Amino acid sequence: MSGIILTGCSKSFFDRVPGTSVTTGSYYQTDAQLMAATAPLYGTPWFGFNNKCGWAMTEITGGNMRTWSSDISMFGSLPVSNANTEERTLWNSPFTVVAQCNALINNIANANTSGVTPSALSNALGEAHLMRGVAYFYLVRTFGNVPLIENTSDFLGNFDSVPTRSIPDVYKFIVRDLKFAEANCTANVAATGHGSSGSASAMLAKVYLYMQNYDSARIEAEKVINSGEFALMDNFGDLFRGNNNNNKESILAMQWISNAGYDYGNSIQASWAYSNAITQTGDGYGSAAPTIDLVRAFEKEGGDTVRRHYTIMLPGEHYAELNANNGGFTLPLAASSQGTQAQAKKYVIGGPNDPDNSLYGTAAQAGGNNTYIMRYADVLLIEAEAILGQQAKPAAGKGIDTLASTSDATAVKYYNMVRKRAGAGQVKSFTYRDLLNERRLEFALEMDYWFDLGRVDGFNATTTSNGVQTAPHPVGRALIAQQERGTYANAYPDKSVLYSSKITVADNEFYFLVPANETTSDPKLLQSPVPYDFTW
Amino acid sequence: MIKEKYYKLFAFLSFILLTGTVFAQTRIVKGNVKDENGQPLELVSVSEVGGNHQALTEKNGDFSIEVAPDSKFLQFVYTGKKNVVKAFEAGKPLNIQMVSTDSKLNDVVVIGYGTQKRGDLNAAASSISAKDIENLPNASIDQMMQGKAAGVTITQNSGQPGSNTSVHIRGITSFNGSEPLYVIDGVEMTGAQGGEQQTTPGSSQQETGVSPLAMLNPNDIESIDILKDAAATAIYGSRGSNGVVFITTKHGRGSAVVSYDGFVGAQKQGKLLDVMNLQQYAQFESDLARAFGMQPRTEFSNPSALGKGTDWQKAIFNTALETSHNISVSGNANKTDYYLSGGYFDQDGTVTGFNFKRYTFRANLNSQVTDWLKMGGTFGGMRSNQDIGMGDNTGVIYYALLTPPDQPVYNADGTFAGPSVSSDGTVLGGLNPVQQALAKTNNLVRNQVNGSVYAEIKFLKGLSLRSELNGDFHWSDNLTFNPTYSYGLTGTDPSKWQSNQTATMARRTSNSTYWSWKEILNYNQSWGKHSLNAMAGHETWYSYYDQLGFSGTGFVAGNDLKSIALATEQNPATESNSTSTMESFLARAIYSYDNKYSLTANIRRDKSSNFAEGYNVAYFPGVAASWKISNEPFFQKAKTVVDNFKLRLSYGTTGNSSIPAYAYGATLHTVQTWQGVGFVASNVPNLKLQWETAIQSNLGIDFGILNERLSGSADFYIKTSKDFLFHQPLPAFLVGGPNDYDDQTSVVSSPYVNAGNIRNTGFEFTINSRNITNDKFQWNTTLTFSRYKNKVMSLNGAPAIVQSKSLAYITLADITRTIVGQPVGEFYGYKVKGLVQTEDDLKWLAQHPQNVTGTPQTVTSDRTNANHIWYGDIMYEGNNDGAQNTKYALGSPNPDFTYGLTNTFDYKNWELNVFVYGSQGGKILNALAIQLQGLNSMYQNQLASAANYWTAENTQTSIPAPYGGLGNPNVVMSDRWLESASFLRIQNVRLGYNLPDKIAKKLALKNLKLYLSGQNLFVITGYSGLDPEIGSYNQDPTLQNIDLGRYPSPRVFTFGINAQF
Repeated sequence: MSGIILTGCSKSFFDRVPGTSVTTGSYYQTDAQLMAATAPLYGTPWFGFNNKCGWAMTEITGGNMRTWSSDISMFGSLPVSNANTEERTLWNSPFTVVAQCNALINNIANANTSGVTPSALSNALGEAHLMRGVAYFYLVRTFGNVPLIENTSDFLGNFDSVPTRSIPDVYKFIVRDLKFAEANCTANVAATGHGSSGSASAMLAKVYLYMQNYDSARIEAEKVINSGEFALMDNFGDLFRGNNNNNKESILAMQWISNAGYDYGNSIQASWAYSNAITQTGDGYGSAAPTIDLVRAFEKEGGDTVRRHYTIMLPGEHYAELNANNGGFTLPLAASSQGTQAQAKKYVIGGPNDPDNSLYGTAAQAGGNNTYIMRYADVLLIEAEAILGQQAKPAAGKGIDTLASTSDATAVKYYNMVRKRAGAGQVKSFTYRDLLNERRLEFALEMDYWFDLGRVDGFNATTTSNGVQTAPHPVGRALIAQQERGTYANAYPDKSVLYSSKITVADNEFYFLVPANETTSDPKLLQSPVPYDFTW
Repeated sequence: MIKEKYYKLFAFLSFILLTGTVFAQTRIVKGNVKDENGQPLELVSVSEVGGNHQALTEKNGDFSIEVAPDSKFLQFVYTGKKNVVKAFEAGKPLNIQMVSTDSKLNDVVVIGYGTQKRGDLNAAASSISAKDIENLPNASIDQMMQGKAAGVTITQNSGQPGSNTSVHIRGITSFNGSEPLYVIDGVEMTGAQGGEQQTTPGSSQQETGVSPLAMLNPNDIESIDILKDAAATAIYGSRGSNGVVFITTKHGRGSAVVSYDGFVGAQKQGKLLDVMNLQQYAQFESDLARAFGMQPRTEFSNPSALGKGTDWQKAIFNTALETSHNISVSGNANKTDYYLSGGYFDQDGTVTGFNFKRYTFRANLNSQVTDWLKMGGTFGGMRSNQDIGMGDNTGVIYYALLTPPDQPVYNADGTFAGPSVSSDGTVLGGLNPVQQALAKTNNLVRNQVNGSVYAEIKFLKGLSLRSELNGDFHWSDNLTFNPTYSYGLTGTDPSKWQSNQTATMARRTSNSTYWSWKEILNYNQSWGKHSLNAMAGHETWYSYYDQLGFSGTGFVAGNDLKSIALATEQNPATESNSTSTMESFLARAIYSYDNKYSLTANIRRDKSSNFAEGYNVAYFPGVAASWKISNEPFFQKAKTVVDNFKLRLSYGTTGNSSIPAYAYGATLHTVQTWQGVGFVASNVPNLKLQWETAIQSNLGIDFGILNERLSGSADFYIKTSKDFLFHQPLPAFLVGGPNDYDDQTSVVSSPYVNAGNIRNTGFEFTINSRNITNDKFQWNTTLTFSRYKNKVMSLNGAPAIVQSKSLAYITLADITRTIVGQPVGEFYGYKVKGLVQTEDDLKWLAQHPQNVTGTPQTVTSDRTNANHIWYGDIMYEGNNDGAQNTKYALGSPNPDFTYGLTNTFDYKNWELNVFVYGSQGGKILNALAIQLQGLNSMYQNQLASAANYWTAENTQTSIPAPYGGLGNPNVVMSDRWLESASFLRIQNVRLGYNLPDKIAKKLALKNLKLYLSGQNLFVITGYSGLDPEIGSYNQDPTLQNIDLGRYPSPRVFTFGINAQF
């Protein structure tokens, strides 16, 4: 016995790597392992953004939806507290994507990748840069100046003094990431759900458009248009059927699944569907609904009934594809969950037994339908807008004049392609105001409109010494001030009594506040941005 | 065994010394002496009071003594028993019962890898005997220890049956497991355990963890010894920094005894909150609607015409039963002692849906096989079955308080009712808490087998080797099920009912294996006035944990068949496991001289798999000295009053390595993707991670006055925790952050770091007093007192550690803060100045908008802000520095001191035991009140007192007017929500009756005791919530005393029997 005692335990007795976890040292060694490391970048890290805060900001603050739901109602009236949970998630979720992209990029650099094919390696790095760029694109549009992080480990000891970077620096960083992705991602693979080189080009086009670099935006948009990788879906309604994930119009999407529960599925339908008669999974709270203003915007377009039908449900309207086995779903005449006599239809996909969900399923709080980050119609409208921008030549720090108009054949062609599919009339020319309205109707409830409102006054970043963005937003403010965010007093169809509600947004409210717990950890986030060192 | 031998020797010696020669004329008195258990006592010295005659009792307890003709009294003396003086009558046999003395000096204290007599101890230690905790109606031993030992602060984290308890020995020294190491018959187990219990579906908070000690049958416990200072705990090295609690189970003594202990009790919630009734609610909802710009509900237009509505608290709190049965056989024959027991414990919750059942058995056996070989072992088997209705924190109680009184529990047809629905489809309420508590399943079954075998070989005189093998094996199975349901108020649109069309189920099984092997060499020698006890040993242990999770949805076969195989959709399985190992060398020497001076030195070397090579070996030394001043010649004069006075001094270091296995390395974990399993980064590695070290100095005294009439001990200590292990939270911009419901599947976990130093200084004492002792009436008092001050000395340059907690829909950002110079987990927020009332206030605020939500609040002329809470700030106090409102330290959750006072009264066959426990100082964050007084959401009930909110007519109030939505300035973290945590609780009153021997014998019983007990009878507190004893949220020291609607401790009345056959 004592012999064993004196020799002690062998070294392996103390080497206890967990049996169910993979260590970074043993991974990233095959093409398949790299694929399994990039796939998560499209899913669960985005859950928080997609679940509520993303649309609370873009749609409710943007004036397309309204809610009485106390956890998000302040998004409709502003300001949103820096202690608000959803406001925090607005920050946390994209930064989770950033953290995972960084981990992937840095782990690959330290891994033994000798067994990996070079194309798979560059594609993996490309995807990580693509999604990091996309995450920062959401962050910069939401918060303005934010910290730029490429490797978490660089800041472990001094995380309390990481500065933010100016909006132009963040955009520069995004462009660098997306260019890297464009060069390194595999081409023509967007249909698999992974971002392709073309996805990066399309995102670049949009980023350049925000930067008012219309020449580059056109180059990138045309690259995408000419590649043939993407095309419009024939029917607008097909874009939002559960079975049509990663369709030919889908450039980049959050990829959701229904069989792994909360955190992995698309939970939008749970909040938006009018009732559980649609979802068949107990959820369907109608906790946000289209504003009177959005309904009126469609009404103004008159003929735009196809697109309206698949965006907004009106009382009495019938949807054969929802609850299809029981003859479809008709929105009750009393339906007015947020007092607007309208309910959301986009991203509302029906129940587990509906034929539209046969491929990817749907469960409580977990739809199997993807959320578009970008679809091809956006590229067409970007091209149209870039042409208009080239012609209008707005002054530095100003947006395109809303009355500026174009009849450029290319611009009008793409503009009309989007309208035609929507069931809207063809035009010979369009103003910038028309285009903004087109974008609103086309992408309503797709988490985009608030960003449009924020950029119409041009790429103009002025940051105060306490880190607040104060660039003037005359056009954005005027557009918001007109929006009717109120409710009807009576039930359908009586619209005679309207409790009107309109808001004015201050210039500094176009960007949200950095969450309080972040500024407590790092007070430098509240100070002026510091220039970023771009040497790689 | 050793204990008894000493007694016998001592008794014999005193007999020899006291025996004199007797010449007078004499007569004979005969009789018998038994102990309190009815066992005959051998070698009791019997002496004539005022005379010289002496005798000793025989093996069967009989004695026979000559006495002088004028003698009237006999005195009976036996070490460890109270002296008895009894008058005798000529010719009548004198039967004596001797009960254990309160003098603890001769009690044996377990000191780890050995034992020592309390009188000889150099260390600070507290002991709790079986008698101190007998007949208490608690499920687990940690709850029973409350107030019984000085220096140990115990708070029940929940009144939920089977839930865990915070046990802090000498304050909080760590962020990572501040719970002590429990050693049960030599088998170590850790007190910090959780995670086996999944969150109940629909609950937003993690459940209060389960107590590992709830598996142990308290009836099996013989004694509990708590080592507090580092000189003592250093022998446990890297696991001893939070103190060590030794639990020794029972062993057989004397002839065979069969015991039955049982009780039946009724539990009831003591206090209910005064929430609005229907009339108040109707008025309030109408006001709120107007304040929010909504139309008031027409049915509420005349509140006085309405009834009182549903009392949801009454609907969920019930009178609940509690029963316990325990039977044991023990004895000692042929040099073999044995103890066998079986126990059953069943506690229903006072809240609908809760239950805890436990089945235990135990077998302990020791045998002196030959002169040189002793062998033995213990074996225990336990099974518990625990049901949680609808979650603890923010669970069923929380919902019951918020559910509006216009919502009935049942429809007229007996089905569950839901809220009413307005004509535009708005649901005017929420889930039915009673239905939820009954419908949801959260069941945890735990099975545990543990045991040990040992052999002790005596080589030479004083030299022995003990070889010991311990094992602990644990399986648990947790099942949560959220069934399909659909219910609503009769007459409302079924599509607006509360419903769940898809059942979900999650099942998690886990198993753990622990074994350890010890070789201990012991050497005991005395020569002249010197005595030495030396020990050297080697120990290795291995622990493995594995957890498998399965979940699925869509149980079309129905809600009753809770099998994962019946799920129409099965989710991917999850698994996690980990292994930890350690190897240790240890040595200790205790040297004493002349029973006056004693010195203990010990050292342990640990090597742990929890740290990387190069950082995984550490040494933990400890020294202690004591001086029995009362044994000095110069003290002899004082000895007539002070019979024992001892000074103790110690210094030592211990460690803490309680972090997850391989926490230092970088790993990946799986997440689900549309292409199957994907891999994401799990954590940020830290290869330089090393032990947390606690350095502790202790100065103590032990004393006994007037023949131990008054005795006790007092200790002063300084305990510094160096390099404490901490799961350093990093900002979300570095690692990602949780989303709105705290899910964080792909957040990169922050690294564990050695974060800084924490110091606890404390003072504690125990006083035992035998106030009255005569043969008919005895009154004894024990007072324990514990005080510590906790201060963070360093955070290694890192900024404050800030904790937030979300409460369903309210996130309390930054509720506690830990910074250098302040206590751990101190509350942090704004100070309320009052309500904005006057025009001057308004004017001032218009120029200095307050900013507590991140956005300055502009004051408009329509006074919309006029009725808000006004947070005082530096600007207002005259320091117009342009800063935003300032947050302040708002107080510590730690109490200033805690105390326990036990009084026992014995009169003939009656005994009365009164135990009072109190905690003074500290703050509670009444987070529940934020919901119940927030006035910010429609269709939620509020406290009745909240109706007194500000209106233009009602300005003399501290409650602001309603403000819609969350994140509003009235509900930010401020001292508005903090209340005093002081309380005094009549914890237990017990009246017992021992059946007289004669009657007991007729019933063929050796002993029978009947008792009535009342637990948690009365609480004196200023706290407005349900129960002022909150504890920490899952034993997290930075989230202490936060009331999230936790399960309150019930009032319990029990009737019980202790019988011996």
